[in-house]
Amino acid sequence: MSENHLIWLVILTGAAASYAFRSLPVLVMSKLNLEEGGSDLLRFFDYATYAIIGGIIGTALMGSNDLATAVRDPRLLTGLITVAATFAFCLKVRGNLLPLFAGVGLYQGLSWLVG
Amino acid sequence: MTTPAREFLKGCRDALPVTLTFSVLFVVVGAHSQASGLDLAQGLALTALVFAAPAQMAATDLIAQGAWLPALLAIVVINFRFLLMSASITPYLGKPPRSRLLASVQMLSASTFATSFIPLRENRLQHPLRYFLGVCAASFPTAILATGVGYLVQDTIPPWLQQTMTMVLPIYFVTFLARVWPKTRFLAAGALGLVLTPVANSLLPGFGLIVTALVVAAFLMLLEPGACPKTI
Repeated sequence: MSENHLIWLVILTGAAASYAFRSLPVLVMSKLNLEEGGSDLLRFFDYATYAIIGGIIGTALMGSNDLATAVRDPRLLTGLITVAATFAFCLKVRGNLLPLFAGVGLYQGLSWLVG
Repeated sequence: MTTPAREFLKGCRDALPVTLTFSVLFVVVGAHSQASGLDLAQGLALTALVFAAPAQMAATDLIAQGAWLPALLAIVVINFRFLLMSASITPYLGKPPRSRLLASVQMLSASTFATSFIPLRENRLQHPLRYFLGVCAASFPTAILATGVGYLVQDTIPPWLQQTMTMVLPIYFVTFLARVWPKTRFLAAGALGLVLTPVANSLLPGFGLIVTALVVAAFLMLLEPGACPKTI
């Protein structure tokens, strides 16, 4: 099998697995009788969702560094300050876009200060 | 009274930060595909079919080394998280025909998920699938287009801009966490996820996100006052 075929094999098999992960819950959940707000299963997934959102933030703050390298990288502190300040700002104003731009501006400013 | 078209457009609008991020992130992914020896069709297919920048970056790195099976495993392991995301969001997408749902979930990514989930959960939408499709319509084609651009122009984005753009998504996601204030249990879930996922990732590479989410959710369920099985 040529290298080109192997690349396609990886892409298509990976795509099939990714789609299976995305679609399996659609097939399974539609068979369950879920009562919005009252179901333990739904609340469990709600908690999991916020943990995922937090996890994505945490992973992004680490960048491509491993844990040991990341904690010594000043960009982690810069990111954490930005995240905390954006969170606080969000509580004061409505909407997402203004805090988003303010957060990006703050991050850019802090990065410039840190060098 | 909202129309399906209006909720679709609201989804497009809400996805603007994702569009901005993807337009840089997937340029990097496209450039990486080119550097790893994929042809343009393969680079575009990887984005369209796998649609997860971290999995794509890992896979193309391994493909460049001729490590075919590890490349496949990287996609499988990293994208396993979609199982949980899909399970979380599916109940809030209403009751459209299953075929439509099955077609839509291909565009589920960490970003489209996080952008859609809270508005869907707030339950103010009359056409939740249209809203989700609006978010996807602003994100998915951008990712494919940016991959193509990245493949053709390679690394012309200055590093400082790349670094700043990689922060757009976490900053945007923080705004979602802030929106659940003062529901402290959900905020606790987010905070625990933020702190514990990097640690779990270093112990269980690729599975940190999903393991942390499951453990945190189970932990918070146990902390609920008078927690007892109700309806499933």
